[in-house]
Amino acid sequence: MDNKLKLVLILLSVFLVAFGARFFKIASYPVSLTMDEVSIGWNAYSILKTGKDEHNERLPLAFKSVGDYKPPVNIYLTVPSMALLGKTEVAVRLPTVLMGSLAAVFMVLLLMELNLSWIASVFGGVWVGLSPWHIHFSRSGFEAITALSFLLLGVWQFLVWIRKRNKTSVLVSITALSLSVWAYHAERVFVPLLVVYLLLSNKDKILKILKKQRKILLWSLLVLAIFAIPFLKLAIFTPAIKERALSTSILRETSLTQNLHFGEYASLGELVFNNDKYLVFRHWAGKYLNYFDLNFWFWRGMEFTNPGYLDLGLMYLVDLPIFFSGVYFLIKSKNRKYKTIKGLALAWFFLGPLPASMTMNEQHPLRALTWLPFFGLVVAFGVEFLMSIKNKWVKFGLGVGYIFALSLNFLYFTDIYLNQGPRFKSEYGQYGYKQIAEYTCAHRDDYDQFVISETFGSYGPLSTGIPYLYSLFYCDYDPGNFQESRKIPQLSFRRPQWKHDKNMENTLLIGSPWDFLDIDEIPEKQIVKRLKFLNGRESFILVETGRK
Amino acid sequence: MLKLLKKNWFYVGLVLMTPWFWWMVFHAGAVAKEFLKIPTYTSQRVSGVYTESNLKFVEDLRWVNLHVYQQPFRARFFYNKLTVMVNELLKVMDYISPRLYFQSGDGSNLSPPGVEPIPVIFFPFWLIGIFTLVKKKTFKPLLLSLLFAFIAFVIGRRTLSFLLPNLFLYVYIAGSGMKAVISKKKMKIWLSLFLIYSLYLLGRIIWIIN
Repeated sequence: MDNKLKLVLILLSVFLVAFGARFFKIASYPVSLTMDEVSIGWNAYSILKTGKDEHNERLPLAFKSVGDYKPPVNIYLTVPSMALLGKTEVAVRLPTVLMGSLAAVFMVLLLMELNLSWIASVFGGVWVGLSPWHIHFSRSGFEAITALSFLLLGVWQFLVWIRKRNKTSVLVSITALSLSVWAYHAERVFVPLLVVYLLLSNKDKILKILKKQRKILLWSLLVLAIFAIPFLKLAIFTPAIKERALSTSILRETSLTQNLHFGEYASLGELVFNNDKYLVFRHWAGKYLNYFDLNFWFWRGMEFTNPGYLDLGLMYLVDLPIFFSGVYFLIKSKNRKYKTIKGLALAWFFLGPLPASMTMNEQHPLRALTWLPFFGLVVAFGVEFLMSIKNKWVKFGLGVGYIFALSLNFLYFTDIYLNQGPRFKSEYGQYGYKQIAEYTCAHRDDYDQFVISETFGSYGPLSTGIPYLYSLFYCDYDPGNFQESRKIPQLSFRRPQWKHDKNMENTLLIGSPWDFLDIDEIPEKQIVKRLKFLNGRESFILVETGRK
Repeated sequence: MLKLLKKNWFYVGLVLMTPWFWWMVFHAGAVAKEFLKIPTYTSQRVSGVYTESNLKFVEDLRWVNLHVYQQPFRARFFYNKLTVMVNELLKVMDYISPRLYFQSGDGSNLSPPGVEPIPVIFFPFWLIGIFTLVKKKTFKPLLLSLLFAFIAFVIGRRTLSFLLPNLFLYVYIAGSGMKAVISKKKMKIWLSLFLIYSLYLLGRIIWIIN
């Protein structure tokens, strides 16, 4: 068989494995569109119908949404999906499913470019394809997946350019890396640093290329300028970049800010030994070091279940010996053909968790997704090492053993992800708002008004949602009307209070049990419906006031 | 003993730069008292594996497969006493977490307050030290640090007092990393920087105590 055809078939197989894991029951799992997904969906629909976002901005480069200034790439990728499939969960999730599946393909190509054997490269691609870390976020419409795919494409094409010295590769690389920066916040920190590493580690080769092909530099700068200038304009002249960075920065974390002095020190001792610079540095160091935790990597990083329960790590437990084999082989190998992968793995190892360490939250697997390729490189290298074992029976035994153990791990993952996770975590995906939106749509003629609470939670009013976006997404509201008025007819969004609201006529109050602590005073016949989270606890109560 | 110390002055010097060492020295009595409690802690640890709360989560995780999907085999295969044991055993990984040693300490009164037990600037050298020792096939320090972490895990106390041997091992590993990447010429400059930072940490402890 022709080598190119063989490669295409291999890549297609890897893609299909990854796609299968991501597309299976995509409309049902996760059990609800998250806030981010419904915002992406509604804004994509709004762009499709009117060319403007929900805030009436024509083709924006940053979507203000609920003040979090979403990156534009995923939203624009969702527009054609929405045109084809309508306003559905599948339409919202499909672009990320596809991008996530492509990440597995790009991983194979990257590993091949790094001189790994085709077996190890394919393993690396399949590893990404079946990674619980990657699957979960690929199924949930997260921009980080799109950004990661572009990142892998960009790094691969950069290495191809270094080898082949062709113009196309460097331009594709710059485009892909730029799109990666445009696609998600973490890449805004990670990509420039990785690019600095790539340029420095290949500076001799790059200078040689540029000496012979000066035009490449001009073309590269031109393409870079197309992406960088608008980005810099957004960063400097609008709150789009700063706002998001500030809203998630560790500098806003109470556990840090309550100890800071903001320039006002009570004594010289405090100024020297308790100064804000050291406190911030120490706080950040804790966040950064928190990511170097084997438990987080292999046993409980994904937080699909409750604290203390069995859970799942970023990687399967069966990957642990392969990972450490990869580390060992990377350190021991003196083969010059692995020089690039060694350097890249080391750089990625230190840089990977950096963006996540600058944000609030401990051990955030989504924000640390830039780190995933490092683990992919190492496990693929581990396979490369194991393939070099001369005894074919040992190799065979290890292979069979791994496949068996992986099957068990994967089955366990499916149980945790499909059965356990929804039960424990449905409320964190805003479960219930879809049912509320559909109910209000279906009963528009029965009530004059609907009051919908924005707070909910199993154990207290601890979570805040954006029910207005669910109402817009699941009902047939016109985006143009909403852009003008920012109001949805008949709907208002606040916490209902039975004491005052009971006097409203013909109104349906929709709140969490925490909004109806006086439920005993509400006549039973006025409680229209009770909704539950998947853990069996009450989520929302629908109460009607007196009718005309 | 003096000869040994003189031969390894570099590593001894690094140990003397760690707040952890000085905190242990000035709280030697309290550390010794902790060591006397090892039998009590260990028996609590062993009997704490199959507690009601641990077994409760097994029941909770089985619930969906038993009552919603009617898959009793799956329920029992993945969630049973063996998985409780595995879950407990894997907690040993908490005992080798770099954050414990290079940033947070254990939060007890036997952990230096407000500073890292081992200066955090040693961390990258510690990682490089691991790579260096693996390259040289010197696995003893790495295996010993795992062993001592496991011992502390069996005792059931994730405290710096029971992880004390790892102070010396981690510093040795970091020192190996420093020797691998810092030339002899520049070593004095780097050691001076480490010393300044360490003195700052020690000063901070004194300020916090007062």
